[in-house]
Amino acid sequence: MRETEVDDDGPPAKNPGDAEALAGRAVQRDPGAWEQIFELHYRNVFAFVRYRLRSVDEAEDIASQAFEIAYSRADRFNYQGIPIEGWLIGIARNLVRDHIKKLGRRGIDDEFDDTLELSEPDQADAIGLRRDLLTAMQTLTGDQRQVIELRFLRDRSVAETAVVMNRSEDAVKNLQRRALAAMQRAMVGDGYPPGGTV
Amino acid sequence: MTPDRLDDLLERALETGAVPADATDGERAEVERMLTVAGGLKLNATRVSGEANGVMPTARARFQRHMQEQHTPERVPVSAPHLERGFLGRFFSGRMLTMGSSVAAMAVVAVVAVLVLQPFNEVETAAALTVDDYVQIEGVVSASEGGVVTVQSSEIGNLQIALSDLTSVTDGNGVRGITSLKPGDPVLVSGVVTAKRSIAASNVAVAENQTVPTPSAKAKPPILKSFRPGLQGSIRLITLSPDGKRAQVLLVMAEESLLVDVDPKSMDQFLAGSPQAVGVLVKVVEAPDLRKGVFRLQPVEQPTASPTPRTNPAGTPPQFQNVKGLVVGRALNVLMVRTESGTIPVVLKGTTSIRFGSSGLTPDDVRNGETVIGYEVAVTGNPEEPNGRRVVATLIVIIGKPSPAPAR
Repeated sequence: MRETEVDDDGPPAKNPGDAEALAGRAVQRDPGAWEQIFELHYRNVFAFVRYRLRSVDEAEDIASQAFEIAYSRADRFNYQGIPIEGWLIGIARNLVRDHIKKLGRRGIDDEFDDTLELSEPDQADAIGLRRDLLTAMQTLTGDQRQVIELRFLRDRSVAETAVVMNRSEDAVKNLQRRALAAMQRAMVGDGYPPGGTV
Repeated sequence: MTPDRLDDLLERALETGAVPADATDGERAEVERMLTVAGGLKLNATRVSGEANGVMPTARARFQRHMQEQHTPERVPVSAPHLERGFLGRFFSGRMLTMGSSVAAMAVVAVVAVLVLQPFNEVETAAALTVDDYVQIEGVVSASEGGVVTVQSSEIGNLQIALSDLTSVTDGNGVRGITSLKPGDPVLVSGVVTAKRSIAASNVAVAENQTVPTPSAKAKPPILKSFRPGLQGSIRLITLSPDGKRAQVLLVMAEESLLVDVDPKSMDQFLAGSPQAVGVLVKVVEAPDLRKGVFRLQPVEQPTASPTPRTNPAGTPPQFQNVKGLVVGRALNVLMVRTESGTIPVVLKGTTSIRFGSSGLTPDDVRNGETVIGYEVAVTGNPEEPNGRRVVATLIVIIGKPSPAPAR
């Protein structure tokens, strides 16, 4: 799963003006704005980290650190249509990388992936994703994997997924069906080709 | 079987949890195969979502503390009169805290944070469940895998219930392990909605030694828009928004099921009498001060016969433990509630939903140190341990201060 496919897209703003106003207040370190940001984005930042680490406690700690760093550096945030969630996840991603590096230096490599680009198998191990699902996901195209992550791992609606992917809702539904069908065929081992269509 | 039609059938199946009735046999088989894959993916997502919900209170409290520490208050050379600190004020008076009590303090902050912070997500959907709502729902376990159980509700279909260390599972014999739930168990679940069809459970009550067939899902229940005189039914689901501004119940009658929007204030009054609302027979009443489509509930006294069978008609339905009494003491997040059968410790957790009813209290009051000692409360929850007296609250309604006894 390529991080760049999904990591930098926050939930589609219902009202870009509201999002900009919130970002403006965030830059001023308005506690009320940050409380809203926390409620809006903590779960997704936690999930992002959790899909990469095995420990709930460490995922919680790193997700919390991401918010603390963001708040401390709020005046550096430059809102130009960039979702705050993308910024938060960027910070979380760096923290995860640092964390994994530290563990690697300490010789702890059985729990985490020791590469900067986290691989599918390690993410899967981190969350207990079934091996057959993992293998099946590897047969998908980039778009198909993005649909799967947005729709089923991040619980985005079809409409939200369409906005994030800049596709029509019909196209998202079609991609979704093709992705699930491809995964299902891969799981039953009929040699379904990578990125195949239905 | 065209691709467009399959796209549509699959989306409808994902939305409702069941293959649409108009699917042909071939389409049904195709969609069911895809649903299996989607189910596996959602199980993982539900587990992570449940974990996120579980850590939110602690993380929220930590973030609040971080924000407070980052703010350097301006020093004002004015001597303020000494104010009596409230409960939390005394508790958090800096240097007196030990490491152990810091951890305990975090737990209290977590409880308070749940009260104080309102989620920003105001997206309403037509579905019965809205993310972040507190929910009580009855159903039957249809599957269990890796800390997530699937509970089938005949009215709203399949729900993924995430179990965690924060979940208390009990039956008539006492506390059970969270891995003990099995298909066929009739259950009453309370918790917080974390996704469209997912709930992070705080409490699960199981009917004792009873199993029933998994009910089939019916069509999605409509919302009651206009008053119907004499309408009454049994509550199968309640949802309460965290900001206290929305309340909804699912009423089951002999011939139909209806979602009913309930005035939040009257809902609190109702819950004060029946904190475990599921299973209660109620009448829907209208009031001139309510906007159209919003109603009040009135318990139906001494029903001669339930209009519809419950999920578990053969035996005692799953039940939470209800506690009603006067708060006479508090230690951290444990309230001492004096009841007619003695004083019972009630444990508030980050997952506990707290309703302020007509007590006059607000979340700010609690944040500023209100202990709720001297207030009457109604609580529903699960015993914390086998043979233990402590009750882990899933819902507490602060009723108010009792009226003074009449002078002789």
